[in-house]
Parts: sequence; C-alpha cells; structure tokens
Amino acid sequence: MAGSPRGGRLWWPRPTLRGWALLAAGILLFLYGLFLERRDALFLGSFLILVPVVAMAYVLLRRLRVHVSRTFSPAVVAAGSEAVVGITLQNLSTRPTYGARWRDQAERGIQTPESTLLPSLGRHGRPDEGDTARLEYTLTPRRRGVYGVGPIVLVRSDPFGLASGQQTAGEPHDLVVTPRVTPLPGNALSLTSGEGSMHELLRMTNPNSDELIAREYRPGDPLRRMNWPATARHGELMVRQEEQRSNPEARLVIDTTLAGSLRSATGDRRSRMEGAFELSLEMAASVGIHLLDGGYRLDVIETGPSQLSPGTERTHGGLVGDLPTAYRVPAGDREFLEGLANLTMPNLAIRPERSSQPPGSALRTVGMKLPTFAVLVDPDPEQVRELAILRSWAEPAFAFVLDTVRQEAIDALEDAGWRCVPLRSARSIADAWTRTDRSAVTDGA
Amino acid sequence: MARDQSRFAERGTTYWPLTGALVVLLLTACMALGPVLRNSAWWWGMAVTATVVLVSAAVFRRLRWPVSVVPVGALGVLLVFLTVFFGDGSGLLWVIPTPTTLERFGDLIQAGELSIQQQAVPAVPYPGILFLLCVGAGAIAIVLDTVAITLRAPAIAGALVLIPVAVPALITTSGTDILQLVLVAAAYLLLLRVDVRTRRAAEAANPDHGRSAARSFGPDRRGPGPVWGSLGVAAIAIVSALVLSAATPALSDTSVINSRSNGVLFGNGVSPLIDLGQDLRRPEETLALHYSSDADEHPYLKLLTLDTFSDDLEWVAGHGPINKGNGVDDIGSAPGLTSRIERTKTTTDVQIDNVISSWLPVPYPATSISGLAGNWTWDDTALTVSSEQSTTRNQRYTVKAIALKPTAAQLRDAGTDYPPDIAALSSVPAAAPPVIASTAKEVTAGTTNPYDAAVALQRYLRGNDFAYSTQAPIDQNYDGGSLGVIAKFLEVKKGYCIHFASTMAVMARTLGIPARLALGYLPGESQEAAFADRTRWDVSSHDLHTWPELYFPSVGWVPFEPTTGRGSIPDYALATGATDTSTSAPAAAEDKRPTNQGLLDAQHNAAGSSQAQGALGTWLQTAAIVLGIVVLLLAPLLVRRGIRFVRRRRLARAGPPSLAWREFVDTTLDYGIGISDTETPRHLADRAFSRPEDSAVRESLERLLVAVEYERYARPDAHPDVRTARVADLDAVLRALRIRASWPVRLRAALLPRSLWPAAFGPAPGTPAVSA
Repeated sequence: MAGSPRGGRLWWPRPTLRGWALLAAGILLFLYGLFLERRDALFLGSFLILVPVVAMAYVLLRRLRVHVSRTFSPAVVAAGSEAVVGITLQNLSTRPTYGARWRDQAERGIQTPESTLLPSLGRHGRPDEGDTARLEYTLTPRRRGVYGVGPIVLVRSDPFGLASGQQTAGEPHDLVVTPRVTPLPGNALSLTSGEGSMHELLRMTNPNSDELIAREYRPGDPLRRMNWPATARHGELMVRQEEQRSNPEARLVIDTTLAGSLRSATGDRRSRMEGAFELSLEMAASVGIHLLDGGYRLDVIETGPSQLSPGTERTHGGLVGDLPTAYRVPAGDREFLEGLANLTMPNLAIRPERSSQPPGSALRTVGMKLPTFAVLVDPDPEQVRELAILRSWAEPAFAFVLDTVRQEAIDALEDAGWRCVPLRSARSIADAWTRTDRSAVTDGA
Repeated sequence: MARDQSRFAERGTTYWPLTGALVVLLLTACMALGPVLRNSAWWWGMAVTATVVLVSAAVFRRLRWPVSVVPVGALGVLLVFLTVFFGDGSGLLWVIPTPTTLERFGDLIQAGELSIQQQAVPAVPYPGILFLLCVGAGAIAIVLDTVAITLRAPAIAGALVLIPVAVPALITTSGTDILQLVLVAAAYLLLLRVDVRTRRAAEAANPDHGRSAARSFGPDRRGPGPVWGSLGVAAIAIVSALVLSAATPALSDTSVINSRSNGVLFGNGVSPLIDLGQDLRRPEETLALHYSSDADEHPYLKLLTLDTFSDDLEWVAGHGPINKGNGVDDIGSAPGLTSRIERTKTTTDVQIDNVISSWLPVPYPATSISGLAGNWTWDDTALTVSSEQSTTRNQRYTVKAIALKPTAAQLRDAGTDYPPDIAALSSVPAAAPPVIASTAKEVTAGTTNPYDAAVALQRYLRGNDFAYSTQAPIDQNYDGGSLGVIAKFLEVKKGYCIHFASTMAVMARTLGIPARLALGYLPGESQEAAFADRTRWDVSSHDLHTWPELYFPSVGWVPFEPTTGRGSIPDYALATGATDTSTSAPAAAEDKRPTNQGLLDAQHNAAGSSQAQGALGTWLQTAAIVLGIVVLLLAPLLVRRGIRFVRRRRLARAGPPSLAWREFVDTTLDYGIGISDTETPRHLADRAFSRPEDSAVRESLERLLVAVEYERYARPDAHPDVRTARVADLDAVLRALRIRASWPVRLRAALLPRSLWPAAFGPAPGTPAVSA
C-alpha cells in the first residue's frame, strides 16, 4: 500500500497551476495597490487572490456522494494476461456532478491509467437524467500476487480550473493474480505406476470389448449387471465391473522456505531469489493444473509452514509431518491457483519448527507410492535428507531444480533416486515437463 | 490535464467559444478607457477592430491554416481593416495598403500623438487618437488570440487586457473606475470558464485509446454545467474583493502623490526660478487655473518680473516698495507705451485652482482687475499684481487688459532712446562670463537695430542647436538662471525655459537693450467645456514658463519667446521676410507639454530645417523602413541560403555525405515533397524522382545514396572510395528538384523554406499525418 492514498479520506483542495499564477499575480498587485495607495490595483489584487481561494472553498464544499461497486473480469487473472476492471458509479446526491475526473489506484505492481473525465451524472433517483456511469479499464498484472485495487479517486475541480480536490469512494477490492500456467504436453495418465489402473481406464473406453472385467457378486449389486458368461465360467456369481473407480493421486512438493545457502541473501541475490521463487511457483502451477486436469488428486506439500491451508497444526512444514493440502477437481484447480497467488516469499529469518515426527509420517497414503514432483529453489541439507526419505513413497519422483539449487543437493537427491530436471526459465517449463514424460515412459517400459 | 493535445491549439479547430469570450473580455477592457475619452465613438471603433481581428483569426483556424500563420493572417486583416477605414481611399481597391496609405497612417499617428499630448482628459477622440486606439485594440487582439488560443494559456490573457485597463489609472488621478474593473474581472472569469469547458469538450471528444486506457460510459449530458456554481464563485470573489479593497483603512481617498502635489507653492522661495524648475519636473501635472478670454491670441499670464541680479548673480524681483494706493481696480499704464501702438481691449476671466502664491497671474499689461478677494496692489514698474496678506487660493477674478500689436517696423524704428531708470536695466554685472557677450555679438552680427538683434537672438536660441530638457540641467548641475549657468547652458545647449529666457535677456543686455525676465503661465490648452461663456482654457502646473521682455522706446516692454519648443512666437517677433514663414507653422503648433519634449524637439528640428532637407529626411526614413521590411521578408531566404552555403563548403572539404543528404532532405521539404521519420534515404529518393524523365539525375542521386548508405550502414573503414559525396552531384539533384517544381512552389521554397521550421507549417502535403 506504499504511497497510494487509501480509505475515504478527503484531501484538502489545492490550487492548480493556474490558481497559483493568479494568487501570485494577485499578491503582487495587492502589494502595489497597498503601497502606492491605488484602490483599483487593490481591487484587482484582492480579486485575483480571492478567486482561487473561493474556488478552493467551492471544491471543499461540493463533495461528491457516490456509490461505487467494482468487479473484475475475470475474477482471477493469470499473471501477464488482462483483466477488465469495471466500476459502477452512482450519484447519491441531489445535485448533478460536473467536471469531475476519476482515476483508480492500486498497490504497487499494477499500472492504472491516467485520470479521465467522469461523465456528468444526473441527480439521484432520476433515471431519466442518468445518475449512473460505468467506468472500466484494462489492467495487465505482470506478477503473481494479491493486489488491492481501489478505492477509486475522484478529482473535483471548480468551474474555472483554479483549484482541485480529491476524494476516494468505495472500498478496495483484492485482485488475485495467479501464476501463469503453461499448458504441458502429454497425458498425465502416463505417469501412473504399474499397469493396472491404466489398463482399466483404457478398457473402459471400449464398451464392446468382450474382455470386460468381472468381479464376484457382492450383496447389493443390481441384477442387470450380472455377467452371465463370467458366472458360467467361474462357477459363481460375477458382475460386470462397468464403473471403474480410479482414484489416481499425485504429490507436489513446493519449496517455500528457500532454506539453503541463499538464506541470508540481500540485494541482487535477494531479487534473484525472488525471481527463482516466482519461476518455481509457475512451474508448480503448470504441473499442478496438468495433474488436476488429468484427474489426479493433488497433494501439495509445502516445505515451510503451510500457507495454502494455514492452521495451528501445520507449522512445521510438509516434509516433517504436516498434512499436505489436497486439491481435487472440479474446484481444486482454482483453489490451487489462488493458493499459489497468495503465497508470499518466506520470511527467511524464521525456520520452521523442527518436529520430532519422522519425515513423511503424515503423508496420507502411507504405503502407496505416488507420483511425486518437487520444485526446488534452494533446499538446505536437512530438507534434502527429508526428500531422500520421501523417495521411498514416491514413484516416479521428479525434482525440478532451478539453477539456484546447489550441486551437492542435486547429487544427494539423485543418489536417493530422484530424477532431477533442471529448469532455467519460464519458457522451458514445457520442455522440462517433456523430459519427465520421456523418462517416465522409459521407466515404465 | 497532462494531455498533450490540450497544450496547444489544434490545427483546424476553431475554438469559437474562446474567441467569443476573448471578444467580450477585450470589449469590456476597452470600456475602461471611458473616463479618459469623450463620447463613445472610440469604443465602437475599438470594438469593431478587435472583433474583426479575433473573428478572422478564428476563420483562419477554420480554414485549417497552420497555427503559426494564423496571427500573421490576423495582422493582415488588421492592416486591411485600417486601410479601409482610415486610409481615406488611398488603398489599392480601397483595401490593399499602398505607400500613400502608410503615409496617411504616419500622419494619423503623428496627429494622434500630438492630440494626446495637447488634450486634457477626457480627450476628444479625433481621427488620430481613434486610429491609435484601433491599432492598439487590433494589436492586443492578435496577441490575445495567440496567447489564449494558439498557446492555450487564457489565464495569461488577463495580463494583456490590463493594458487598456491601466491607462486611466496612469493618466487620471482617480484611477480606473471600480465598476469597470468588476466588469473586466467578470469577463475574465467567463474566459476561464469557457476555456475549462473547451478543454473538457475536447477531451471528451478524443478519449484516450489503447488497451489500458480508461473508458467511461455514462449519461451523455450536455448543458451549461454548474451555472450557479460558477456564478456563486465569481460573485463571492468579486464582492469580497470589493469589500476588501474598500475596507482597507490605510488608503486615503486621494492618492499620496496627488495630495502632495496639490498646491503649487510658488513665489516664496529665495530663487523662484529654481522653484519653477522643480514644478516643471514634477511628474504629476495638476490643474493650476482655468480661464477664458476674448483675446485673439491667448495671453501669457504673468506672475512676476525679475529684473535685477542678486549678489550671487541670480535673477531676483526688483520691484519697488509696495504702494498701498495702487488699487487693482485701476492699474497704471504700461511703462513706455505710447498711443501709436495698435491695441485691442481684452477681458479675461480667471479661476485659480491650485496655485497658492502671493502673486496674481494676469495678462500684461492689465488695466483693471475686479472680483478679487483681499488686498492686492500693483507694481509701478512691472505692473505685476501681488498682495502681502492674501494668496491666490481659489480666487476668481476678471482682468481687463490690452493686447498690444506692435509691428516689426515700429519696433525696428523704436531707436535706443531709453529713459534712465529703464537704461539701468541694460547693465550686466561685471562678473558675467565673457562668453555671453561674445556669443551675443556673434549671433547678432549684421543687425543694425535692437529689434533685429533681438529677433536674431531668438532665432539662434530656437534653432536646431538647442534642445529642451528639464533634466539635463540637473544632471549636469547648472540649474537656475544665474549668469554662471548661462555660460554652461551655451556650452551644453540643453535646458528649459529659464535657461533660454535668461540667456536671451542677458545677451540683450550685453547688446545694450534693456531686458528682464517674466515668470508666469503659458496660455494652456483649450477645453470643450465653457467658462464664463467662452471656451475654457486649462493651465496646468506644467505650463509654468519664463520669458524675456525687452524694452523698446515708445512701445514698452515686449515679450519674446526664445524657448525652443514652447509657447508661441508673437507676430512682431517673427522676423519679416519670406525665409521665415516656414517657422511659423511649427511654432504655432508647439503649444505642448514639456514631458514629451524629446519628441517635440525632433519634430521641431525636422520642421525647422529647410523643406528640402525635410523631404530628403522623409525619403530616407521611408527608404529605411522599406529596406527593413525587405530584409525582414528575405530573412528566411537568406538564412536558408546561408545554411546551404555552409553545407556545400563543408562538403567540398570532404565533409560527411550525410551533409549532402540533409541538404537534399531539406530541399525536398522546401518544395513540399515532405519526409516522414520512418523513410529510408532510398525510399525518399524513389518518391522524389519516380518519373521516367528523372533518369538523368538518378545517376547523381545514386552516387549520393550509395555514399550515404555506406556512411550509415557500413563498417567505418570500409570502401573509402564510394563514401564521399560530391558537391556536383548534390547540385545536380537540387537543380532537378527546382526545375520540376512549378513557379509558385519555387517562390515559396525560396521565400519561406519549410525546412527552417518544419513544425510551424504542419505536416507537408505529401506526408501522412502522424496524428490525424
């Protein structure tokens, strides 16, 4: 909120350049009249002084009373794409508005347009006069985050252009800017380990196949689902398994602590860290959305205290026992992106509390090997060790390592069985993903 | 507000409301001249001029003239307007000014200046004054239009209309009428309001485009806007200003300067001549007295006579003891006057306004005075009237006097038979600088009688060598009328009436002619008003004057007028003969105020010289003006040629080819081919020479192009052989450009090369406008 005026505050009117010029000329003339005792100069001088002063009083008294409502379309916008801010302004006063200008304000990072004329609004409650105006502009946020936009600033001025005053109207609204999602190639299904669920899913797409899976009859199965040929073959009641309950899951580890050697970074390195963090979130968003689109349930593990689902019990970091945050379609993709948008750079001074619990103890599906993706910015050796332990619950396990990750960490992870895919820039996100795909295929074969 | 398009006027936009507001403002401001001028014809003149100029400027804008040309066009309209209404039909087809018209304008200006100097406020707007007023209104209108519309700074326009508003404040003591000021203030606010609305309308009509621009959709309301708000702000400001300026306690009703100079205290000092000088130098002129007279020539009003020298060689009044018996109802006859001299009886009614003195201003020689309050006596020798107890304050009296009309022959024949008491007045103290006597002898060489000598002296002092100046004696420390000062005056040849009069008197004495100084008032200026059933004449403090009186036997004391540029020369004092007739006209017209003496001197000098010389001077002046105009018109041509010359010379000395290219581009600009920023040299060349008959010049152009392209795009050290441009190629290309242009284009390219100021002429026709 730095530097941007907020709230319903009223600013004192101040003279415009023209007003200042008149004031200065007036003071000169007034002094001239006073010292040379010329009443005409005195009159002109006082006139020139008084006009801007009266104009300021006019501006001060003629405040606008308006009702403001604001919408974003779309409500959630990806970084780099456009959002239209729509503002509806209704005059609540019994006086028409004249000659006001409006501009919007936003937190740093969002560019709002220059001030523009406000259409002259009619009196309140007179629809024939038109007391409502719709204002809109397009903004293009560059970076992920949550930005307060508004309140709208109305600039009033006097009829002679001598003074202007500003007032704010309405409340600020938050604009959620999610990380940019790069569409990833390939089918997420290919990631699943083993053949079972994949084959089942494939067969389901072919209803004419004879080789329908049959299972034993359980009480409650409808009769129309009896699979008579299979019953004949097996000698016991079998039913068609028409509906495959496939519940693939995947795990995503995001590095929110940046706990490694860059911990105490300042200046240049700090901004490099920020860039890397944003890139990691972009990668995580792309992978996460890809997986969610592919039907996976997504467990997101943060290395630091959970920001996605904050709570007292999730302060240690997902690697050491906190429950991961789970997302699932249909609503999961949006929640996931909004969660990422809200993520802030970790406060580097605070380390997550160490937990006595062993790593991975809280992972939900203990004993099952889930596809696991980690996006690493700067893990410290402790976290690398924890990731190494996590490897045993992960199949396949990919780590997208940014160029801020030290080589020892990469070596340690690869020793533990993680496949480390280097990620350099946002442009190579799809590329990095393709490499996991290929290795997954070769792995599976 | 920070939008560029509202910074300057847009080409093709008319801004009618602004023009209207300017007209209103200027007309209102002109009304402030009301107290200075009589009737209202002048206002209509100014109003029509200002309106015509402003409307024509708007029409030119409507015709999409470039903004920089609009004021020039308006100036032309003003000239045409003046030609039609003041040119007296001297213009070509009544419209286009000719040299005769300009001459007529010059006469009008001169007449106007004269008339301004001669007339007291409120002045009658004679054609000269009217002309000046119309010129002023037109000029202010042009500048107003430029500032308020072209530069879009109407707030500054207020400073310009202060010019007519300030005139009454400077001329009259009461200052500008407050009601007028209120009207001007209201008109000014109207202009500001109109400007704000115009800007808004322009902005609403041209909203920002682009992806991130703000868009507003709302009711399309049109209307006058916050009328009551505007009126309220304006009314409160004006009324408060009225109250504030009226309630300021420090102000007396009349200004300080005014009250200080209210009375002309005069005649009590040790040296009345010094007082006189101070009175003349006082910037504020006050009305000393007014009178009316039935005399043919309006009389000098004499206060006192100075006829003796004090110990420090100053003139002092040497009148005898006051004779209580000399009552003013019957004043004795003038000394030396005999019945041979033709005379007429005159009656003069005088009302004293601001003179406070113990001496009474009366014409000489007076015979009786009636209506005076207090005890006044007349002096036996000088016939001046004074009082020991009373002052002139607020006196109103009637003087019966005689106007003497001696002829030159009578004066010439008067001889030198002076009575003894008069002969004593032809002595000069021994300490007088010898230069006075020697100069007098020199000047009067060849004269045979006192009268011719006196006329010679007068002509010498009124000649071109001497100049009127109230300031020079102060600056060079020779103020006053003492003998020592005369020597200095003869050297510097600058002074005012004291110096001239004193010099003539002393010189006359050195020649043996009895002489004395008279101190009084010039006849002043005629007014339209009447006083005592005759034309009223106003005498101001600046009409204080000194003149010499010379004694001629059987005629008595005869006044002369040696002061250059002041007063009028009496008929008898004009030397008879054909050669001197030329001086009478200017002398008669020289009844002027001393504050403008420099100008008058110039006129006097010009007029005083022979007519042949005058004609030559006029011709020279005209020639100089014409030459100046020609040079001014040719200035763009000369500058452009100079640039080309320098470029060609540098090119000849192996300058970079881009010089040649710049010259080529500028020339295409001159010829209206135009250039856009995104065009490569080759594009431009192709566009300029696209026709098949250009093949001859293409060769030269090609060489130039190659040189330029190598200079621009190749490595610095590559191909040194092709990267020199030849002057011959450039010349060939320029010649081709010139030949293919039609002659109007050629003329314009020569006289008004666009390349000197590309922006002023707007985008060239061949160029797509950058911003429509």
